This record gives sequence, C-alpha cells and structure tokens, in this order.
Amino acid sequence: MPETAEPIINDLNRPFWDAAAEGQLMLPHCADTGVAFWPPAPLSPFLDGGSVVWRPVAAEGYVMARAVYRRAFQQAFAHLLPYGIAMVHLDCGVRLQAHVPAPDMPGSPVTGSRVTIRFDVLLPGGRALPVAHAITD
Amino acid sequence: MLSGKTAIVGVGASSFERNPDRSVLTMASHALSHALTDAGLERGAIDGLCVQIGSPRGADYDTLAVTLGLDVRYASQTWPHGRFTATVLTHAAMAIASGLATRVACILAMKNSDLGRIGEANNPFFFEQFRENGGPHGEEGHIGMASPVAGAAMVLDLYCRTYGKDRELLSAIPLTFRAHARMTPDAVARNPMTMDDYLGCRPIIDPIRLFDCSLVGDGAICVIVSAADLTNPTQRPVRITGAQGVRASRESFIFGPYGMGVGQQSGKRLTPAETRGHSAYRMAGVTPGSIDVLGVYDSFSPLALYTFEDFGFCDAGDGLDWIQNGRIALGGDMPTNLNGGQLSHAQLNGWGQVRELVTQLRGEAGERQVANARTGLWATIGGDALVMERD
Repeated sequence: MPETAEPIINDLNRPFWDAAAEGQLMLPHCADTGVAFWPPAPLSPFLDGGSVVWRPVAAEGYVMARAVYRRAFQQAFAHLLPYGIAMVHLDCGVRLQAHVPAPDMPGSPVTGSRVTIRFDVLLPGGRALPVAHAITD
Repeated sequence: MLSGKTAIVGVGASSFERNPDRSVLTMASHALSHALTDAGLERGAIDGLCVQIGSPRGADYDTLAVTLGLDVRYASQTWPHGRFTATVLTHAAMAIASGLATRVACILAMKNSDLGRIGEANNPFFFEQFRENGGPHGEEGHIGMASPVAGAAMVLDLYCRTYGKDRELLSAIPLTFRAHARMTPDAVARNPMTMDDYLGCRPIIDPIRLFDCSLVGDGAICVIVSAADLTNPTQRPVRITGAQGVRASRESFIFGPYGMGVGQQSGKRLTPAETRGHSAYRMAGVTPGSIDVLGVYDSFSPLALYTFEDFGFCDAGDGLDWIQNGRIALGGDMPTNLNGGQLSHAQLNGWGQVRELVTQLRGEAGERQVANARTGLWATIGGDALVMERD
C-alpha cells in the first residue's frame, strides 16, 4: 500500500482542519458546561446527550512531555530527523500533540517550555499541521 | 464468582527464533501439542478456543481450529496488539464457569520477522497511526508520531519530570530481567548486559533506548484452562483465583499509569487504598504482600515500573527508588519476570510471563525457582490481572 502521512478528515474533525488551514486552533466544546475537550466526539463526553459547539481557543500552553525521534519510522518524515513530538497542555485544559522541529537546536521548546501552537506545512504539498514553538519573552 | 472455578493445567510453547520461513500455524501447532502433553490431555478434550492475535500477524480462530484439528463449541478472539493477555484467559475462565466449555485452549501465536516495525509502511498496521482520534499507542502519523515507542517515550519524560527522578534509575529493570534470562534456557537474549551497555546503547526515541524495548520476534504459547473439578494432581494445576480484564476510559493510556496526565488523563493517580484493593486482589482475597512471584507486561521497560505502582507494591512516584538494590530480582522482596520478560526472554505479549508463573508455581523453574512460590500475579498497566495459586 502507498505510504501516506495524511490524516483522515471527515465530519467529526473537519472544523479542526478547516480552521488549521486558516492558521486558527478550533476545539469542540460541551455546549452545556462550556468545557473544551479532545478528541472530537459527536456528543459531549461529559454529559448524556450534550450537544457540541466548535469555538476558537488561544493556541498557548506548556510542554508537559516531549519525545525526540532519532530513528525514522515513516519515510515521509525521515528528512526531518531528529524531530520531536510535544504533548502540549493548552491553557483551556485540553492536551494536544504537536510537532517540534529541530529539537536539538537552542531555543527549541523542551519539557516545561511555554509554547504557542502554529499551523505550519511540514511536508511538500502537505496540509498545515500543529507545530509547537517556544514563546520567548 | 469466578475465583477458583478454573485452573491452568497445561502450558506449551514453540521456539522463539526469528524465522520468516516458519508458518505461524507451525508455531501454534507446536505450542498446542506441548500444552496437551503437559496437561496429559487428548486434543478431543478441548472444547473451547480463545485466540489473542489474528491474521495477518497471527492466525484466526477458524484457521487454527481447522489446522490443529480442534472441534470447539466456544471460540473467541481479540485484536492484534498486546493488551489482552489476561482478558483472553479470563474469557476462557468465564466460558468454563458459565458452562459454555470445560477445557479451553488459549493461544497466542504471532510472527513479526516478516513485517516491518509498527509505524513503518511495510507493517500491516501502518494505517493504525491514522486511526480516527489517534492510533492505539497514541500515534498521530500526520505530525510524525508513529510507532509505539513514541508513546512510551512521552510518558517516561512526563513521569521523570513529575516526580523529579533520574531517568537512569530505570536501568534496574532491563538489567535485572536480563540477569533472569541468563538462567532461562529458551530466552532469546542471554548475553550479559552491564550498566555501560545500557547507557551506551543507541537511542530510538528519547528518552527510550534500544535496551528499553522488547525483542520483536516470532513464537507461540498455548495455555490450557480447565474446569477445576476436572483436574488431577498429575496436571499440577494452578488455580485462577483472581481476575480483571483490561480497563478503558479517558484515564487509561496504553503506556502510562492510570490517571498519569497523558492525553486527556486527569493527573489523579490511584491512591494506595485503590491500588492495594484492586479487584483481582479482592476476588482472590489477597493483598500485594501475599504475592510470591510477579509477572508484568514489559514491552518497554518503564511499563514494569508503573505496574509496581498501580498494583500497590509501592506508592505512585516511588517506583524508581523501590526497584533498586535487587528488589525485583530472584532472591529479592518481589521477584519479577523470572524468565527475562519481553525485554530479554521473548516478545510474546506477556504470555511468556504467564507461562513462567505457572512454571514457578509448580516449582519447576530450576535455578531461577522462587522458593516456596504459592501465589503469583500477572499484572499490567492496563489494569488487567490474574492471581494464580498452586493447589
């Protein structure tokens, strides 16, 4: 089968990807409690039958944990080695995973860093993907 | 209640070499034959079949029955990853306790030597990293997060940061299990491992190194579960007295402790009262202090660490200190993975540890035998567990 790095996009997550293409972070929220959640669900995971609304959130938070790839598993990403993956705790309480470019370079976000998530194109012809960038004072 | 209604009466295994030319059915056949011989049973006595891994990594229940000459009235099968060991054995015990079968062959047979690593394009599970709402190990292939190793690396980084611990304390796990494998004739990795070897081995995904990863390979294990009232002393039966299947919720993550704070976990770890009151302990009427010999899931070395905490052997965050000074070695307070575990014996999704627990509780483990082992525990960070007791 052909190798791909494309996410599956459908009615459940399309608002996230449409917003990402515009450089904005949108998350599903429980309409009744107002709480943002992830991953996307058709009904609120907090409330029986609770409806869901998508709203933009501030794309800032901190790195709770980071893993750094020293070995390629996907050929599409091999030319980016070494690269990192950060688990970002957003200020709205949701945790998202984001790509970390050049993790060995000074200024790259490490565990504990304040970061902003931007949507950058990582692969030629690919879509804009969540990437963690350190916030410098 | 399930407790004590069933017993393991036979275990068998194939050899564990990486051999792309050997059929997974050949391995399953060897494991079943050895288990039947061990139990002193004819294959016609088997009326149930519980399979962990199907095709393409393993073989499906229907092919297994046809190929192995089984005729069963109860069959079940779980998915092709490694978290259903206790659940499969529990299904067998449930089927027997509820009258659906009397003797169930439980089989793990898989071949990895003809596949790439999970996350690579020539592995049949490549597309799982794009599964809706994340892969089965937290993968998100579109940002470059592929392979189970990444999820394990992420949690280890979070754990060491949360508790302020030196990551190198983890070395006690791979070094101890390697020392155990050196006493196990069919272990895949029996060469010595020193601290320098561990510190110097190649990084895979920081902070996980090569020697923190299990040895992906080929093999099969068969465990025969029987109605307890049909056993005889020559079978050296080991009773299943406590059981819990794998748990699932927002608080669970495949490679982290319950409630650790990975993904959408709350960050509220289990309390000592909760870990020491685990449902498998309660079913068996035991506590962590009752356990003579332990088998834990260790596809990556940190998983063993978290299991000691989630099953109440030590408190949350204390595991890296607790495992030092021979605590988990043969002769220590809590001898663990006496055959070398997945890290050094063979990567058989934990079925190797279940087989070793049976061997230990029968008193047949030779130079690695834990003295007077009467009560054993199989446990994983998925919460699934089996308490096993010698009659």
